[in-house]
Amino acid sequence: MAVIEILDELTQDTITTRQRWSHYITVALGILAVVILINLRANIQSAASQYVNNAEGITAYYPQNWLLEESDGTDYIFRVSNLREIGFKTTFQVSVEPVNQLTTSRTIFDALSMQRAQNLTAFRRLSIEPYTGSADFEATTANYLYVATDTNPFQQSVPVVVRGIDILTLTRDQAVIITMLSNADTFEENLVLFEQFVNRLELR
Amino acid sequence: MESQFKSQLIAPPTQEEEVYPYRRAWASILSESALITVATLVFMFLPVFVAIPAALAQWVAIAIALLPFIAWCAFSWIPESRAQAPRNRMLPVFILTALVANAIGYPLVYRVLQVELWSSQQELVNKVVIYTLAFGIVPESLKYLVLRYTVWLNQFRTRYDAIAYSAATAIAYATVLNLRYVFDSTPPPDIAALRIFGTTTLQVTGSLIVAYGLAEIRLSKPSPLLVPGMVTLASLITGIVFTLRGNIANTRLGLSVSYPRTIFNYAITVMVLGGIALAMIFLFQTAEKQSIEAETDPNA
Repeated sequence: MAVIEILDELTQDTITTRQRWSHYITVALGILAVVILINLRANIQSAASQYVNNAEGITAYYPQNWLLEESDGTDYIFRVSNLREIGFKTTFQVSVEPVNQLTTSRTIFDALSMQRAQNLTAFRRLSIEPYTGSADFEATTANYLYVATDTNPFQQSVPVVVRGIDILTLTRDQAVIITMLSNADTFEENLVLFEQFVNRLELR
Repeated sequence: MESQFKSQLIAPPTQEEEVYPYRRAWASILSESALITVATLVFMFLPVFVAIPAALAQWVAIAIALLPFIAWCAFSWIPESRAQAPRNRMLPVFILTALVANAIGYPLVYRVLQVELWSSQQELVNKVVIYTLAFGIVPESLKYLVLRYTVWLNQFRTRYDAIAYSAATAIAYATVLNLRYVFDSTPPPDIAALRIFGTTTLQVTGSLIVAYGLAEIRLSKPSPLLVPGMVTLASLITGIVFTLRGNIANTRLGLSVSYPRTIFNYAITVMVLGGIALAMIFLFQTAEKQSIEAETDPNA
């Protein structure tokens, strides 16, 4: 009986230059793939569509492929929603309220809170604080949350906690309210997109 | 006078039989693939004949996710211990790959980069590029690194060692992805079976392609670009198959009645598995023949 010989000479202690370079290039390929992926992701996520409303003097850039809805201005000027999201759809909204010289941010937030407390389940205002973002206007922010349920009673879905943020800036005769509503679980991720949206918003 | 003695043997010597001391890697992989292919078909059509209780569905899905691992144990790991010259590092390579997949590969692609969230609405070519990078190069590079730093130098005695160890990394990586899938999504068994089959197939075919590069760079003198080239090729095939399955085989939105084309999806996966397995068997056999010819050629 003969056994196929295991070649001892194949036991190799050192790596040849060819093998070493092959290894370096393969590792570099892996690292390059991750870098390209991060870059692609940033490009795709920051891709934006333009919205222009000359009547209200608003120019906005919202995330590409989000659904745009316009209103007559009673509830909001426009809003965009991410329909690809499962469950609650993240929404950015811009609305305008008429104001006079005595109106303050606090009075507008209080009025909004009263209105929302009547319409939204378990509405709670969390905080009101000065806006510290990088957009070039002075503003105040309000954070709040409520519980959203599907309006269709036959839909088998669990209510979700929605976190909202309003950024309110006062001009001479109107208050512009920029709102984000998002599932509380994904709020921080969506906040990055919202900050981009606010930074690129032009109010004339 | 010289006496003449003519010996007569009671049992004449038989022709020496050549014994192959290693476990036959191709036979194991083909057996595992055949088992998973048939099992997937059974689970796909099981709901037509048997109503699986909702309470059992999750357990059945977990069992399907573990099927590639069970097949690998039955056809690769256990027979390995019976071989005359066993590949001793099979289990460490398997465990290390599973840990790497769970700690680096899965979190990087699905949690940090969240590729599925932002890639689905892209154009076809963009999708191929994204899936090639995320679902191809990332796992293939990680599996390559595990092999490179554990068994590549001194445990690769023949080209078939590369196949055996690469298959171990593929099954380990696929098992982690499959278990994550059934625990995170709780899919029905027929859907789970198809997805698990697809994931396992792409991992195995990708690893076989990279195994060729690893074996050649260890036992021959190819270009240094062979291994990265094989990683790229394996990843590109993964990217194309992912896109094909997503765009052609899945349910489409439309005004008419639509349904998931599971058989089409299954057929694509089987064709990829069969085609790449045949191509790799041919490549490995050719390389082995060339190697033997080079050894026996006095002019070489």
